[in-house]
Parts: sequence; structure tokens; C-alpha cells
Amino acid sequence: MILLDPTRCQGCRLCEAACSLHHSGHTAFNPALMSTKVVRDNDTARITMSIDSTCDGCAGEETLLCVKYCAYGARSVKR
Amino acid sequence: MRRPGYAGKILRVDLTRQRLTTEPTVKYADRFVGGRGINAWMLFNELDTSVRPFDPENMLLFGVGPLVGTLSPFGCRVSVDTKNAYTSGVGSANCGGHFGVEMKHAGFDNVVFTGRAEEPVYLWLNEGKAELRNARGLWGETTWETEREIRKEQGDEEVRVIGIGPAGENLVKSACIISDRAKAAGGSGVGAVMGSKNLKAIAARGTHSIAVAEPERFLKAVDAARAKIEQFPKAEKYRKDGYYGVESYYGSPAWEAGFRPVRNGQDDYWDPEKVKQVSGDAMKKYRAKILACYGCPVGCMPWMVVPDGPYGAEGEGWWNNSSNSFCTRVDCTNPEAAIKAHLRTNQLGLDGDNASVVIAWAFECYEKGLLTKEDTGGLELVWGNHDAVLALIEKLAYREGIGELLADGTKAAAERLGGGSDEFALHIKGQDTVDGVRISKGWGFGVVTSPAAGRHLRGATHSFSPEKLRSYENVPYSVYMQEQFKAIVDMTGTCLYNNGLLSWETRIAPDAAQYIAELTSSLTGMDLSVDRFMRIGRQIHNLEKAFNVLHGGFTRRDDYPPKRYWEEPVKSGPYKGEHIDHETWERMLDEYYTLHGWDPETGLQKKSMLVELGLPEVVEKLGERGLLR
Repeated sequence: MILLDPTRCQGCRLCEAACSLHHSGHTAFNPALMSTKVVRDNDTARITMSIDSTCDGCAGEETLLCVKYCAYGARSVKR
Repeated sequence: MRRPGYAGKILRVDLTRQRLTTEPTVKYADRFVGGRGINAWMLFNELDTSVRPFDPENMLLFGVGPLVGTLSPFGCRVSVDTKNAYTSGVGSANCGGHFGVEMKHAGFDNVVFTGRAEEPVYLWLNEGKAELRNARGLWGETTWETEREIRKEQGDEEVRVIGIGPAGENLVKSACIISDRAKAAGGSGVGAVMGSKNLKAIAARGTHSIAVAEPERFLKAVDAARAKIEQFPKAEKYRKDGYYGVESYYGSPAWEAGFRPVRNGQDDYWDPEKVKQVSGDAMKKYRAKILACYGCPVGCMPWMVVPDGPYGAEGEGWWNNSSNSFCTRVDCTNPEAAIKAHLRTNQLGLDGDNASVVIAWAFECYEKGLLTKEDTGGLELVWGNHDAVLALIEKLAYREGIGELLADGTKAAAERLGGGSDEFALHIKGQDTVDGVRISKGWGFGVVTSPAAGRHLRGATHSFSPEKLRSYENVPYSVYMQEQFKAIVDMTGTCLYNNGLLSWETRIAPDAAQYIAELTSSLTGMDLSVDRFMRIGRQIHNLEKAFNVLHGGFTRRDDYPPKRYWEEPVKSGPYKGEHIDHETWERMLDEYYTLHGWDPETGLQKKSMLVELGLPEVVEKLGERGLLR
């Protein structure tokens, strides 16, 4: 299970890029293929992170890509 | 077939005829890669010299590079290029944020505007389609309100918007283009050119795919770049405190190193007691959060909150130059007023750098009695009067009262006012310059020789040790290399500041370029070695240089600092007495032109060099006008 911590997230959305790369079979970056999303409210800077039911836990990958590419410690794995 | 790494299409928008057409990006990508590279080529190749900046025929180009919207670090930047509203030479600005990524996912690598819409419009890019929409209701709105309204109209809070505020609409030359409410493509009057076209904004949304040519190799390149960044000892500190918005500059004391001219450049040193009041420590209490641009693993932009009082405000912003623009330059030490000034310029669509130069010039005119309270509408422009700075920002954006005098920059204002006010008008090639150029010689030489006129985002570079800072040694070569590297950064769509983290040990540009070259090659399938990239970088720089010669009439005589910086030494502080040595400057120009293969006597490009560089079109155009050596 992936734990999300929006208080640490700075909104770079590399997790989204990594997620869509996984779902495209490592062929492309495509927002239509993301299971995770980071949205920032430009009035308050509040960041919302979410993961939907299409997340397959990065099946076939060596590691969870969204966790690997998060530079801010906003994602972690609960074992 | 669409090339990996690209959206695939360039959109051309004729605003006069409301005609939208597309062409494949690949037509230009082989030669100039993307972003600023493609923009600079189209601008040089297509714009007639008779066109003036605010003529409908002027081109306004937005471009993103291949790394934008991918897993590559810092792939977010948008290059905005046009004929410079100040200089009639090359105009070029650049911003980060999230707009560029959305423009690409909406299906477009570059958007090229010509013409002038009859009524205000905005361009809506969505899922490969483009349409012009009525923006009458948005005209007059701030950049923040424009974003809110367009999102409301589209019923989608994730639409990304880039556009102008009242300053651009009013053709104020210090107008910039703002995306995500805080990311400013500033300089060159790009916001005013956009306003002259009756173009309020571009909004984008889409799920267009960006393909990867060699996924395994690309992921390896990403991991190598990320590992290098993580080795940087201060990476974690930067994430926590923000890279910018503090008083230090890469660790050098910026106040002492001349990066913050004081009182319109009367000095380059500020009283340490004043520094304390707006230092990083002082600003910390207003910083609620640090935010990142798309794709950035080391976010730098603070979210500032002044909870209440006369300067109550909240928003993204405050960075390195803000403390130049709204503190040292006008001798102001109120942090809350300075934050308010920064956020207000974002709302009004004013470039803080350019706007603050003309504001500080007005303060000095007042000090010298050339402007009076009558001229200023009752404002007392005395150093340290932050309320007067805030009031002038409003007047400037709306061309109200004294704002009308200031709206075309210091060169034009000094010509109108006279009285010797040109002696302290800080412009280069006609564009106001925010940078201090007397102490750091590499920075100064790069700023002064920049084709974008007095801006630091071309060849400006500097040594990081205080002893070497003011040395002339190796300056022409460093600037020559940095220019090529900056072109790589801009054609791929990455961030110059954080690219520095890819060469944090050596600070040698090609050390960072190898990462960008491998990322771009594996993403696109193009064979882009560092050498080839640097060559394309020289081509782009030479296109801009040639544009300046053809359109701006610039030669060697335009590669000198503003009169004040040329003649007056630094007055106090550890670098007291530091000045630009005239003979050495001449020698540096000789060496710099020779490195480029330009004629040292005139600064004009040589035919042999342009032929070798593969730019026959430049040879032809310059040759026709007798501007080739």
C-alpha cells in the first residue's frame, strides 16, 4: 500500500509521469494513463494527492515508480 | 510519424484573419531541436526587418522542448520569443510552472502568433484542437483572475493558463507574461507584444501522448541525473528552505558581491543592518510552503503569506531578484511591503526586474530635483518609501500620471525628461537592466553582451569564490561556453538554475550538458552528443546575434555597460573602488568576438564562420544588407 503525505509534496508531479510511463508499458507519458494525481489549489497552495483503483502496484516493475521518483518523501510504502 | 519526445505539431495562429493552421514539428526539430531553438529560427527566418514590435505582423512564439512533460528533471520551461519591444532586436523570455506540459499534452510543441485580433481573445488548446475564444470579459482583469475565469468557463480546475495582466494590455514595456499566477516570462516587453495583439491568454488541457524512443536508456539517464542531484550536499536544504528568496546567492554573499545594486546602482553595497530586515531569516516567517515547477526534484518557489495589515497578501513568489527589485534598488527594508510588491507585479503582469529599474530611476530623478511632488501626483519618491514603490507599480501598469512617463523604460523616459537623467538610466541596448555588473566580471560581461539586451539568462556566469568573483581571467571563454549551454537548456525545455545541480562540483557547463544530451537522445532517438548540442547552441546564439544586427542595428558599440556602471566605481563595502577597467573590457570584447568568429572591429559576424556553422540563410540575409564581414 502506498502512503501519501500531501504536507511534504511540493507538487512536481514526477509521480504522475512515472505512473503513466508504467501503464503505457514504458512507451510514453500520457495523463490518460495515470492512476495517481497531484492537484494544487492556486488560491491556497493546498495540495491534494490521490490514487485510484487502476493502480496495480506497479506490477512487473522492480519497485513502485511513483515512490522511487518522489524527491520529497511524500510517498512511502506500508508493508 | 510523430517523433518520440514531441507533441508533433506547431500551431500557427493568424489573429487578424482568425486562421489556425498546423505543420509538423519534425520539419524544424532536426536542426533546432525545440523550444527557443525553433522559435529563434522561425523569428529570424520569417520576420521582415520593417516590422515594428507592436505591428500586427510581429511574431510572438511560445515553444516547449522535448524534455517537457517527461520524467526528466526540470522539464517544464516555455520559451517566449518575439521582436523586442524595447530594442527592436531579439526578444526572448522564459518561464517554468505547469503550462508548458499541458500545452504539449494538448498536442502542440510551439504556437506562433501573428496579426492582431479585432477584439480581445484567448487561445484554447484542447486534445489536439485549437480555437480562439472571446476574451472581452477578461480584458482588464489581473493574471490571477484570468486564470480563475478561464477555469470556470471551461469547468475544469486543472486547465493551465499563461497570459497577460493590465500592464500588457496597456503596452507597458516592462509587461511580462505570467503562468500559474507566479511564473513570469519576463523581459523584452513580451507581455506588451501580447497585448498589442489583443491576445489575453492561452489555456491548455489534454492527454496527448509523449512517446519515448529508448525507454531503458532514458530511465538510466533519468536515474543518473537524479543521482547527481542527490549528491549535491545542499539538495535537502534547498528543498526545505527554497533555493531562492534568501540573501545568499549560491553561497556567496550577494549583498557584498554586487548582485543587488543599491539606490538605482549608486552603490553595490547595502548596510548590513538593512540586510537583516529582509534577509532569508527575516523572510522565513512569511514562507508557508515551498512549491515546485513540473518535474523539479528540488523545488525553489516559496508560498508567501502576509496574514494581515496594510500589506496583507498571499501567493506564490519571492525569489532572489525580488530583494534586488523591491529592497536594495529602492532602499526599502519593509519585508511585508516588498512581498506585496512582488505579488502585485505578478497580478498586474509586470516583470519585477524591468519595472523596478524604471521605478528606481524615478526615485533618483526625484532626489536630484528633476521630478517633483507635482509630477508624481503627490508621491514622495524618497529612498526607502515602500508605499511610493507600491503606488508607482499601479501607476506604471495603468500608465496613470507619472506612469505614462515610465511605461516605455528608462531610455525613453530620460529622453523625454532630459536634465541629465540619462546619466543614470540603467539600460543596455535600450532595455532596462536589473543586474549589477561592476563586481562580478563574468556576470557583467555576460549581461552586457546578451542578445536579449541586458539580461542575465544568456552568457552571464560567475566564479563562486569571492576572490575570483572580480577577476577578468577567462571571462570571454566562460561566457562563450555558457551561451551555448543556455541554448541547450532552452531548446530542451529545462531549467537553468537547477541544471547547475548537474555540474555542482565543477560548475563547467558541458558537465551538465552531458546529462541533458543523454536524456534528449534516448527520449527522441536523435543522436545528440554534447558536441553536436553545443554546435546547435552556437547556431541559435548566432541566429539571435544576426537578428540583432539586422533588426536592431547593433554592433560593437552596443556591447558596453550603462554609463553609470562604466564610469562610477562601487562606493562602499568590501569591494569599494571596484570598477570596470576600460582597457580590459576592450580586450575582452576582442577575445570574445574572436572566439565566436565575429569581426573584432565591428562585432559583425564573418561569412566563413557562418558557413562552417551551417547557417547559409544568415549569410544570405546579412550579405544582402552588407552586414557581413
